[in-house]
Amino acid sequence: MKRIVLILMMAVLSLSAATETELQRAYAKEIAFLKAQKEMLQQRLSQVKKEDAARVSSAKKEIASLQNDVLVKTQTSDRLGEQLFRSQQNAENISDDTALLESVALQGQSSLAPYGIKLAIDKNDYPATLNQLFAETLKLGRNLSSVNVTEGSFYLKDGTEQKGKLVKVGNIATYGVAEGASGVLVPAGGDKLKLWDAPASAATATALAAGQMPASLEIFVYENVSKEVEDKADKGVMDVIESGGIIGWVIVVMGLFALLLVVLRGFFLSGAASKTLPVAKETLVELQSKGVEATLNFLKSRKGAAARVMKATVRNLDRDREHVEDIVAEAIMHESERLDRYGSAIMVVAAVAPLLGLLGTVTGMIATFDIITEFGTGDPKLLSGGISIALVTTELGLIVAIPLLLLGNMLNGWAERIKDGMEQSALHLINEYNKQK
Amino acid sequence: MQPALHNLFDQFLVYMQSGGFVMWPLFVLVIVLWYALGYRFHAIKRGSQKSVRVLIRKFDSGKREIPRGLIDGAIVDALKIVNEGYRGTIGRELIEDAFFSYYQELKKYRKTVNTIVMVSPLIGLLGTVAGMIETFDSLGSMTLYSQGGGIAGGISQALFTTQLGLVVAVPGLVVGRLIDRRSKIMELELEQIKDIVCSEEEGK
Repeated sequence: MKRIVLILMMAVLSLSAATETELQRAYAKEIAFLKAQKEMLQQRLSQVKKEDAARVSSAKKEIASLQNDVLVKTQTSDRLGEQLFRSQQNAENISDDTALLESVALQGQSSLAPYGIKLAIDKNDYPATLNQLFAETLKLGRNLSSVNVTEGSFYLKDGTEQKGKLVKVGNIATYGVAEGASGVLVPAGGDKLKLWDAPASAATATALAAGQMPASLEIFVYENVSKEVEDKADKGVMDVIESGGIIGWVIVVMGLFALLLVVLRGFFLSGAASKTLPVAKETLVELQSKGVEATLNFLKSRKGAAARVMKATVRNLDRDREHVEDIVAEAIMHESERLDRYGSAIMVVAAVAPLLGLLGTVTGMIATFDIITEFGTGDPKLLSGGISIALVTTELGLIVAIPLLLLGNMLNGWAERIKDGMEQSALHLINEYNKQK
Repeated sequence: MQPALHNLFDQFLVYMQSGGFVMWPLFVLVIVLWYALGYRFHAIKRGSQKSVRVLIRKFDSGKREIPRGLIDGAIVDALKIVNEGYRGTIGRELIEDAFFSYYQELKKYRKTVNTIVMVSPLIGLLGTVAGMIETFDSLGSMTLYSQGGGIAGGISQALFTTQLGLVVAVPGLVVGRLIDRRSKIMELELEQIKDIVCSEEEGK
């Protein structure tokens, strides 16, 4: 079978070799056709490329122009935003100004009201309102700073009403001129005026009513027609202590008590001091001239600390030296109880008073901080109250302590000197006695 | 010279007024303090710087006769008592008796000086507190810059008084301590005189 197929194939091949020239021609035709195709395709390709490049460049141009557009628009929007902000601010300023103007107008209205001037506030035309306000105020000012004569009535001293002329000197004083009486007037309450007790002012009043300005002006100045000028009340001692609170009072009472003790102690000491030296001298004279017994009798008739010490000394003159000195020291110790009386109490008060002042300060500061927690630190008035209370107690403490320290130390020194003097006199007595012996 | 002095006095017055009511008491205390210090300084003058033993020998031998200071005076007194024939225990007691006034002199004004030194800063503090009260009062009444007061016035019052208080206290403290030390030494010397005079005489 296989052989048969092989033979067939050989036969085909031999046939094709027979048609070789025809095949070559066909191929040449085919190649020419394909070449033409290729050229055509290349042409188309270059055309497409050109078209693409043109499209890309146009797109790029478009993008650039769009970006430009965006930039311009953003700038515009920024500008518009700024404008918006500015106009908002303007609007706020205007509303603030309006509020300010309104409050000025209201203030003016309320200030002018007491003088009977009504100010109409036009909410749509503030300039006109302000103009009116200024005009009215200026008129009022001129009016108040001049002397005006009006018809009116005032009360006499006995309470009867009198019709006559009222001479107003600005807004601070008024004179009344009537047939019966004339003179300077004072506020009597409720916008009424009454004659003041100053007869010399009658001439002034008539002169002013006649349009003359007298050389000297008898005047009673008031704040307004219903109120006298009030002097600002000065703080008295009591007010100061009062503002210190309970602790302030405690300090003051302690101080007064200690002052009383100082006076008493000074009284004791001056008594003792004035007696010490004379008694000592007299005792010495007695002892030298009359002897121990007579001296003892003389001393018994005397009173006081120095006499008692001398008595103890003289009674024991004959004992040995050390013993007598002990007795003298003991006698002086006994007397020092009286001489030192109140001394420590005074010094204790002097020491305690500043401490109490400090306590008051702390209490006041606590009150201040309580106020701060409640109301905040906005109003210095609220704070200053507590702080000044705190300081007042310190002040009171020092005011009590300083004089007590000075006086207490002085009295202590004095007592010390008196005791030294007694001791010295006693020892002097012993020495003189021993010398005589 | 005259206008300059006048100017100085005016400045002083302004200073005193700006400190408020505590300035004049303080000023008085300064004067008392320096009077006391001067007195004490005068009292602790020693006649000569030589030692007590040398001085006693000199006075005893008659080389010097007029006492020039406290120690000299004490030695003269002591020698007088010894030369009168009182010696031993009695002599000692008599000398002690005679020295009493010297001890008193040394002690005089010691307490005054100490008290003033202690009190004057307190007075300064008092002025400070008064000034602060004025300050806070003016805060309260809104008269912040009124004449003769207000915040600035209160604060200057507060500061001036403290300043003057310290100016009084510090020199007083320093000088007072120096004088105290000298007077303590002199008290010891008086004791020494007593010992030397009595023991020498007993030894004879």
